[in-house]
Amino acid sequence: MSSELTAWFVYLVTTADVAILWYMLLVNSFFALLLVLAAPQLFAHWRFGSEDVLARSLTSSAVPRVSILVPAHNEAVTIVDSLRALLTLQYPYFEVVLVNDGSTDDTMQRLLEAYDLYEVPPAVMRRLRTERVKAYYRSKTWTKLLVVDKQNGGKADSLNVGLDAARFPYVLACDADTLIEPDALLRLARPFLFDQKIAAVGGTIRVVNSCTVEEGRIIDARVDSRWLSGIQTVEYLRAFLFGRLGWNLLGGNLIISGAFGLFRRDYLTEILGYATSTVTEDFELIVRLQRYLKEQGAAAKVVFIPDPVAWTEVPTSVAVFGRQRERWHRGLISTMVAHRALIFNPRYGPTGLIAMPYFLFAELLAPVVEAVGLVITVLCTFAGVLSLRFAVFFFVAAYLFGTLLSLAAILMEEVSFHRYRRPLDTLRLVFFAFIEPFGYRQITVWFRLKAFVRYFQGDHSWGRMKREGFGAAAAPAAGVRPAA
Amino acid sequence: MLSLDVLAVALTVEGTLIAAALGGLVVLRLYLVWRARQVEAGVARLEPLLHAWLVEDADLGAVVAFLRAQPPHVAFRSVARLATAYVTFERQQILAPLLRGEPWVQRILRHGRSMFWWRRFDAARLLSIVGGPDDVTMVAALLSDRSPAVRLVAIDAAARLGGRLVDLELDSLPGRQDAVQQYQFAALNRHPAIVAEALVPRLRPEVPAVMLNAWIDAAGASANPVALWRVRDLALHEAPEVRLHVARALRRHAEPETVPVLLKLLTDDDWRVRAQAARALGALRVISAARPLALAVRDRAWWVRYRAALALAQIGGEARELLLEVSRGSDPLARDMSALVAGLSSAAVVEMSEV
Repeated sequence: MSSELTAWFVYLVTTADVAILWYMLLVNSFFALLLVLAAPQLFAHWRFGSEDVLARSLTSSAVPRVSILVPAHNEAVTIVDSLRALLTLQYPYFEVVLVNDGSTDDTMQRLLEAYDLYEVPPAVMRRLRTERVKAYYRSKTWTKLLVVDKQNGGKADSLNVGLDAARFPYVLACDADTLIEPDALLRLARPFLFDQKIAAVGGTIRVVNSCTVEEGRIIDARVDSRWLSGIQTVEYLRAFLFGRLGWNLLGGNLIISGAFGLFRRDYLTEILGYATSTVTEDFELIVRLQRYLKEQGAAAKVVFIPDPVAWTEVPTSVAVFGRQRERWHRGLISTMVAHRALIFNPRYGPTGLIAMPYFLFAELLAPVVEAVGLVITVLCTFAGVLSLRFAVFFFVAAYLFGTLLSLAAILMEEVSFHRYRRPLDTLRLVFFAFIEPFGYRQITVWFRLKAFVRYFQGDHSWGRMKREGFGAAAAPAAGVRPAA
Repeated sequence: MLSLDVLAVALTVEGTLIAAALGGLVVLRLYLVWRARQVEAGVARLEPLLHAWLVEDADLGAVVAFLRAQPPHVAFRSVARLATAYVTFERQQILAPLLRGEPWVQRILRHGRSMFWWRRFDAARLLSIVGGPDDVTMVAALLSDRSPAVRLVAIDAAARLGGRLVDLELDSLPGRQDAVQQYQFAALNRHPAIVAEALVPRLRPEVPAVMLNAWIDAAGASANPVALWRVRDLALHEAPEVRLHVARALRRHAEPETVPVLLKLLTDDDWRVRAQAARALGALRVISAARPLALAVRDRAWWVRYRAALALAQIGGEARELLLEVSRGSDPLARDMSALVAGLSSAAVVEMSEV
């Protein structure tokens, strides 16, 4: 009996092990496919984004009018600089709608003083249900600025207030802690001039830690030497330069970062704006938008282009990083559950047949598979079921594949946008690409596993974050999801 | 099941690719830095030569000879960057015939029919600077290129060449999305006289509304008086969409005869037409329209109230007094709107009226 049980155990674990091996092979092959699909697009955008072509767009008065929506909650440290950077963007027609989401620090006071605000009547068409708006303000010195002061209701609620107050047909959602490059909006508007049907465009997010920032502008792009932010820099390059670009050809992206995305406003109001019940409103919004577009038979696409750049701070402490990753994964779970009808549903085209299954198997379940695989492989190796040589070969192969993808992203960055001018920074990127699988990945798996527990406990909180300002080691208030 | 042999092969391939990626990083960095420096040096040396020609009317031969001596990619990138930034359309017309026969230009233009889009893209970019009458066929082909990037750049080339290319572009406008229409026409209108000549005969009431709307917008963007006279004659068109576009375009037509037309449109059944008429009256600073605009601030449609209030603020003087009067009135919606606009700075009023 005992030997029979042992045989069953051996059979089970070896079967599970083989399944996990195939899983990793398939997922990694899919990453390789994304890489292959992304490379020609990266080249195309790099060529078209050249300065002289861009300069022509800049002098044209015919670029789309854009309202920039900026939700702000307790951003007193950075708000004045961030807002100034936004107000001085190189773009002919735009307005900034800053929504103060019931800040308890002196965010509102700083705005009132720095921008000479005065209260105006609520002459706004309200379409969306939101928390109560306390007052609207305009600036005597900055005509492009509208500030809305409202009761605390979260980021999604603030964005909905901003959507109502926006005047222009296109809206750019961005975080108050995100630094947008001066020509980024012009670049982001480019797909709308290509005569293609576009519902939303996302741009690249890069890591600002260790960069020199003056008055809200990146003066010198550097790679942070600290391991946590350094590895995240590589991770962001990988996610944006080939992850999302690859998805353009596979039925469209499911993530446009909440920190930096340009949308057609009519689509957002038709789907009743951002959902306030999720902790990753950006991901949920795009899934709902894709769902709406397919259900309406609209041909409009959600695309990503790599050359518009915004910079954001990433966490430098494991505790803050953990809270951020746990929240992202919890948001992923809740969105996948809410929109489970799309998974493998041919009615939703590539979104239902490729993107949603990918997010289910390669993103949502990835930490579970990785953890189970790790435990089983170690157990089997010690029990003598799996040869040590095979286990070592397998781990090295998986490690090298991950490193290869990171190096490919760094290579793509070097060939195209080449933001990091110093050889030392490139060396750092290469170094972090090699050390990422040791520790960082396992920590990420742990926090993502915790997300399942908190999701089933019904937790909807964002977790406490602390801000220190640009140029210093700081944690983001919301962060930007870099997943592929 | 994966065997050790398969894993060993995978490891070998991965190791090789990683080594190639690392080597590629080093080589590419060196190559790209060298190439960028080459172009920067070319631009830096071309700039004073161009400057001397533009400001001191120096001999253009020095510019042409310098470019001839450069590698083609350096000559091309230097011209593309500097010509766009510094050289006016009229000066480009002088520069173009001199460069058109140069070997490096011929070489890049031969790529206009390349199977690679980026080569056609470069050809289109260069044609927008050096294109001549012999290039009309190629530009026409590039205007309908399968790559949207090439199409967009080819519009610039079409604008400088005019003729049937302008007709082609004007005919394609109605099929484009709004933002594309505007961008495309703005590029085309760098040659306004030729564009107006092609536009005016198209502004006829019997033309289908969807096409007429695009051309009315184009007439408005061109601000050409002859074209706008034709637009004004369409103010009583039966389609509200057309009247809306007429009202919008007429804000650029500062003629006394335009005022009664706009006042009529201010009482149109369609709120969008009323809003655009109010905006146009503000843009034209029609002081005699102050009272009708003050009535429009009480309109049931938000946009009409908004545009009318902005128009009163924009006109100023007596009109602004009327706006303040409305802000003290009994109609709550009109009061809110006029209070909002009355508090705006002059700069804000101008900016908000414009968009």
